[in-house]
Amino acid sequence: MFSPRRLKAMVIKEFIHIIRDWRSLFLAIAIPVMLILLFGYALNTDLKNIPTGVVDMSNTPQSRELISIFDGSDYFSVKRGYASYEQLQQDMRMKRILTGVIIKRDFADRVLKNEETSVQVLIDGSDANTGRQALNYIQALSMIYNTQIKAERAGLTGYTSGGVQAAVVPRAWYNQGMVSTYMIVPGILAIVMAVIAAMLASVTVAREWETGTMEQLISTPVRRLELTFGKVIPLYCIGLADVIIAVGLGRLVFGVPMRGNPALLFFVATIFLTGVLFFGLVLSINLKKQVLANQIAIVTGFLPTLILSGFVFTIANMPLPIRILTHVFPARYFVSMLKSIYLKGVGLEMIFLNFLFLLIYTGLMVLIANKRLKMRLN
Amino acid sequence: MNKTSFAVYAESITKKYKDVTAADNISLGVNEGEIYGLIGPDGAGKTTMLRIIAGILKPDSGSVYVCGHSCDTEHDAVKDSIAYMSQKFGLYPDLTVWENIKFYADLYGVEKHGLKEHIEDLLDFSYMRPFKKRQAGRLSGGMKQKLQLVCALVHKPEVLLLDEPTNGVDPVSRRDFWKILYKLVADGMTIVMSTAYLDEAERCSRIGLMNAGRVIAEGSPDEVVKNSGLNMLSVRCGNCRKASATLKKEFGADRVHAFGDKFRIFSADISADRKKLTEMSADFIVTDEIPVLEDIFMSMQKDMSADDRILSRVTDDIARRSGESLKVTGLTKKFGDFTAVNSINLTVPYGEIFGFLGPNGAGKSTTIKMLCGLLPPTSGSGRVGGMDVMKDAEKIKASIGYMSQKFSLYEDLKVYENIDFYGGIYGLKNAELERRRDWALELSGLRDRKNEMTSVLVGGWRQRLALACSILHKPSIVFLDEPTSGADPASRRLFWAIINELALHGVTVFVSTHYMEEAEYCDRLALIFRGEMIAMGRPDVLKSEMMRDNIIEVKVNRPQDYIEDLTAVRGVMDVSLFGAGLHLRTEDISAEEGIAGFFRERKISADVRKVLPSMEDVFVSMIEKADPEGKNV
Repeated sequence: MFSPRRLKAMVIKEFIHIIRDWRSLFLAIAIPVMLILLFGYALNTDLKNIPTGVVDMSNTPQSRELISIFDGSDYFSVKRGYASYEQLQQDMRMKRILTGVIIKRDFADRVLKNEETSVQVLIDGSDANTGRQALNYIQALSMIYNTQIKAERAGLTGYTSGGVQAAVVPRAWYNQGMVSTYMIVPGILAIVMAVIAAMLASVTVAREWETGTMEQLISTPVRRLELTFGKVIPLYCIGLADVIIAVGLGRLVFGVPMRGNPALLFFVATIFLTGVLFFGLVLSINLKKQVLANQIAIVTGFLPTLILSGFVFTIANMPLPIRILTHVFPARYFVSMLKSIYLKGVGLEMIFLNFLFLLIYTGLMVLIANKRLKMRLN
Repeated sequence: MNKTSFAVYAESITKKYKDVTAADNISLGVNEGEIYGLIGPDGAGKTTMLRIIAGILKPDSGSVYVCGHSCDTEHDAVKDSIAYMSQKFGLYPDLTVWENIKFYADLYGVEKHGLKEHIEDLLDFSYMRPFKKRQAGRLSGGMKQKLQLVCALVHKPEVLLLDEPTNGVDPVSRRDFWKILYKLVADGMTIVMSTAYLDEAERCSRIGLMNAGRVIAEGSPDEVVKNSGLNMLSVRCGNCRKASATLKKEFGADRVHAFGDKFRIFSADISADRKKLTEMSADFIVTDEIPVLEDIFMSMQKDMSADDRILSRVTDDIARRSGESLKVTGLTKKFGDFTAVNSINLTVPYGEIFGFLGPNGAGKSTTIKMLCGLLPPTSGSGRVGGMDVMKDAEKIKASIGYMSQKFSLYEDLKVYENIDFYGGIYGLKNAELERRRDWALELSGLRDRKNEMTSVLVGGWRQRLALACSILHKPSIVFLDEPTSGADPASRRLFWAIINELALHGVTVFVSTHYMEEAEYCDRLALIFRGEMIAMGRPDVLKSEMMRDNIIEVKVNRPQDYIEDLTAVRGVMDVSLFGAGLHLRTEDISAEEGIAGFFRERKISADVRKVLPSMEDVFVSMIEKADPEGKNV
């Protein structure tokens, strides 16, 4: 005896609540924007223009060429040259520079004599992450320099030794530049939706219990399904608007490409949204207190999505118990699917297993919410 | 009994909550087209019964049939044929009047064709049309209740279930509300309601008198009173407060009850007691009194000595003061363009009970909050307890007692924790705090329940606990904002006896109320309307001097049937329901003959006589004078 008219009445009522409570509506729109900008800029793990100091004791065309390779790359920016080792050390302590390059007096001689030589590179290891990246870049650069010299030498003498040199050229697929924002935007999308949805849904039923309107409502012929879906549909619309905002911002501000089918993205987002909205509703129905339900919704919506979804930390690296735990949170499936759709542009058949798990989660939440909602007083 | 011949039929209903039995094997039948009232003290089980009938609460055992449908197995059919109005405001404050009604119409699947006209009709019927675009949260208390009724009526239910629908509603709105109820009953609707107002109980076709989860008497109000076997005398005297002690000593505390400006004495032997009274004092004017429902209520309370013990502790070492407690002039409060209180002047001596009357939203609470130092006045001057109202708000707050309209107790604290909290706020320590805690537990009658959660307390106890908490620091001026709203008559009477004791010991008590009989207990009254004080004086002066109209009382069967026709009788200005009868406001006394003639012509037996105006008559008449078009009520 499901009545579309009653459902519509519920939906309209909930929409009015949302529209008249403009502060909540504003938050629902502002939080995603804020989160995306914050994460997009702050969680940027790409290193660029590492401040670098140089002690060039050789001071020859050869040494200057090496320095120009550093300075010419996107990764390093040579701030200044130092007369002595001590001066460079001083600046590194002051964090004015993160890397130091020290070129020995006999550098040019040995290069010209085709003898082996070395360049000392100092890295500020107090920030392990940055340090490791800087080190990687330096190794890459030194390889380029070596190749250049060999090529020059070969050209100069007309002598090719040992045939064609095989160079390994690594190439990262789907994200050639290995740009971290590319990975972050799909992740944030999941966080935004999980937080906003659970947050909005968690207050709805609790508010009706607190104000006493629930007692009135359950005395009417309204059915469970009408009540739960009537409450979720307007929030779903807000959630979808948030998806559009997130995808749009990702594209406009961070230039993240959307390679997959937008329809597929929205379809998957719909399933995820429904799941997290009903999760919020389950909290609201069981706790009957707005503040409590809301706090739990934010914590359980935000933290697992951030930590256990594979968005920031790689799931494969986690110890087994935690890895098992990640399966409980729907964000895991959603983030994985989002990355595939976003960056690889794959179709549903490629992400079928994740999709199935998400569908099971959502179905469970809808079921629990409707089972737990009591249309009588206790 | 045959379950299908009743509109509502309940059979052996039992419902227990943990260790409390809210319904103890209750059976009752409500006939089609009658108003059935569930009457009884707080915690008697009235709300539980209504919820069970509405099908939103499952009884532990027993069954309920509404219009022949079982609440258990045919829940959907029951829901379609009833409308239930809960005690809390069940509508959405952010939806407009129209949106709320439309929402309920959709939930009940009201025929869409002609729905708009149907809603318009309901709005006209309840005099709410001008407010249809207003958000429900911004309506006055009386209008909120009417709107809730309209929402309940939108699907034309057969049975209307109302849980204390007129709680906290002013007399003018209450009259409106009852006019609507009578119209509905005339159309054949069945109404089951609970109420704390005994004049409303007297209007019911039948009542079920409940106590401790049982229906202890059932029948028409007259029958219930008659079958109670209660006899009583009424005593009027010069100084009632002083006479109280003498009378209680002579007759026993449980037989003597203050009732407005007189005493009522329960009597087993009328003639002997009458003789005794006339011998006691020449000032006593002794008359036979026909008991009313309220007396039944009082007689239900077995242990009156508990009340006396409470009363004896009220004024434990309060410092007595004399002189002016409060004097303000030109006190005004504006909220933006809106003047909530306009230039109020007031001088009140210590030991006076001063009452504020007025419709919801008239400015009573705002006035009280300004006098307490809670709300800075926009302009005006004056002193409260010797402190400047404009400058010394903090000092005023520390030296007065204030009990707000909404309960000021923390529900998640235990009884004694609430007391300790307020004690801490007022700076009580160690031995003093211990002494006052003891005192507060005595005053609220909660000595044995001090470890219980405050949330489980019902009406009277809670209100006395809130009062005790607000006067822990022995203030000499106390402000009580609708302190008795929703409490049962016995608790209300005890509460007022406490107020009386405080006043006797020199404490000034400011109190606002919607119960007109409580207004009679005040030494002086101010009637506030639209932020203005439209009348002020002693109750008897207001009744005799400020009220120029005559009041003719008519006692007749089904009084609601004659309201329209009586309005046409010459000299009658206004007809309204009063208790179980009617009060007619007339230009002069000669109208009485015309009214008696009206009933003679129709061969209807009716008791027509001129009476002193009641406080309610005064209230309504003054409001109508101030607002002839009824816009603001």
